[in-house]
Amino acid sequence: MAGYSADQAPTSRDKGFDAGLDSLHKGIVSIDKAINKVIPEEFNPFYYLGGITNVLWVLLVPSGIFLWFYYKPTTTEAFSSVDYLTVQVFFGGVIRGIHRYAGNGMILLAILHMLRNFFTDRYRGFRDIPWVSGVILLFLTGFIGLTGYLLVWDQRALVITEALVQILRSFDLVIAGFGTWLAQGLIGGDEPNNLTLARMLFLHVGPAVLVFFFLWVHYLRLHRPKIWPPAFVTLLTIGAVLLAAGLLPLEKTLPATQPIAAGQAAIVYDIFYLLPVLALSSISAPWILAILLVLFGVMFILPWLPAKKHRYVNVATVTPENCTGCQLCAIDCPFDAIIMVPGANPNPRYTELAVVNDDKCAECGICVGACPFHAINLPLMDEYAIRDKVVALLK
Amino acid sequence: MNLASDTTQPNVLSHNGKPKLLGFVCEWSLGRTDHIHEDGTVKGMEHIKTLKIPCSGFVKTEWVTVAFENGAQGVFVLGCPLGDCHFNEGNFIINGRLEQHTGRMVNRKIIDDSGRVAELYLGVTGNNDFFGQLEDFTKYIAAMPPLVVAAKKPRAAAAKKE
Repeated sequence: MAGYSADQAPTSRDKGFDAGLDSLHKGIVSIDKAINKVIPEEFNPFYYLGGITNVLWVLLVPSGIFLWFYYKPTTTEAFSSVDYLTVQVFFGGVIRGIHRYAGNGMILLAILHMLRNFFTDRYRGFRDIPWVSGVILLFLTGFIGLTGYLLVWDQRALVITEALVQILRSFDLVIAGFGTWLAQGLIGGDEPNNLTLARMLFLHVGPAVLVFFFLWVHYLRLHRPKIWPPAFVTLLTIGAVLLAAGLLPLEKTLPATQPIAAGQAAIVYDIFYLLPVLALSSISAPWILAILLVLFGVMFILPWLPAKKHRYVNVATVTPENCTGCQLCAIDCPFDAIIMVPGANPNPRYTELAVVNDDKCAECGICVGACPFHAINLPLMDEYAIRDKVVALLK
Repeated sequence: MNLASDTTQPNVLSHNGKPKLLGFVCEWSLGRTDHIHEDGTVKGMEHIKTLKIPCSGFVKTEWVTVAFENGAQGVFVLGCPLGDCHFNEGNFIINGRLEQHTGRMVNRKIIDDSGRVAELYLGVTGNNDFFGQLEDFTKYIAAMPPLVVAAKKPRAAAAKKE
């Protein structure tokens, strides 16, 4: 029988590293299963990690604009303006809490979203652009979190700035003078001065604009991306942030202008993403830089590392003589891989012809199920062969 | 018992005495596990034959009709849990398509009960549920009178190979 057979079908992963990934996949999915027992699976927050990240992002933008009204980006006045905002302004402390906890949550959820997609094998092949744009987005959110924390200009922020300068200066080992140049550019001089916080404010808000751009790139290959989770999950997320902001007021810190007091530089649990910066006490700066570069470098090239399953083996193919241009396959394709080309149909009665974009095709066959005219097919899993196989199995 | 062919009535019982069932199994949900023999038979359930497919959304509703016309007593589609499809929405899509198609088959008297078409949504950890749900499905089908579809409708011919 031509077409489908067991050895042509994509193989399951059975040995070594892949088997390890498989067991991690099962571990992650078993968390879902436990949640699915409590709430309907359509509302499982684990299926909407990316969407929850978006909800938090939407909370961050307006609360950030509110904070910006009160913020003075100078080393002398920054801390007092934040303090005034927190203590004097009506609900100011709560809104600052929303900004802080939503930001931490966003980084945490982005990491979870990435891990889940890694362990469920959703980063290779047709998903390369979403993965790489996601890595850039993760870097951007981490960077925005870092510069955002420095804006408070308390003693912890000062210590982090010094650590950051030290890490950037280790670029000098690669190209002489480059690291120093970077560090000077970042803080506007050799020592933190009045230019520093204006630059940090720009580096906090500027990359936020880039986030919108890369989110667009992130969704480019999806026909109907799950941008927004269901109402239940949205309300759960907003409620959790509001509850945290209302019940857990931000810790009292001391301004950077005073001599540094003991214990003020310690990183609190919720800004975990700054821990690499403060690991300087145990590891040297070049090592931290190298580890971060390797980590992001590996994540960046991950989709193109060789996989067992070869690409372009089974992309959907259109039989133009059968296509009526009805658009059903193009509507159902989850990856926007089918384009309806006007005027290309060999039959003059029909106006459009379905054309498959091989780069976007995921080889899932959803278009085959959609087509009532036998016009689109997976070459290795021919629909007629499967129909014959159905008959043969029931003999 | 007569042998099934295009002209005679197909036999409705498998040789283990249970109704013949056909399943389309998404390779991302349970297809990765070894609970299905190489020839598509579920281990320990000789009456259930399965076809491995890349996504539950791949299933053409026509194949379901063909299965009933050739003696299947029940057809099920196994996909990933709703919301967790590897291809984002394949299981929602097949859910909608089967809902329409099952009603249509009941209206056209191809099947007598919409319960003959089942959808299972199980993730990679759902192996125990898999056998349990298939057991339930078998019991449900076995309680019904045997289904024999009277006439086969002509279907489109296979594509010409050049």
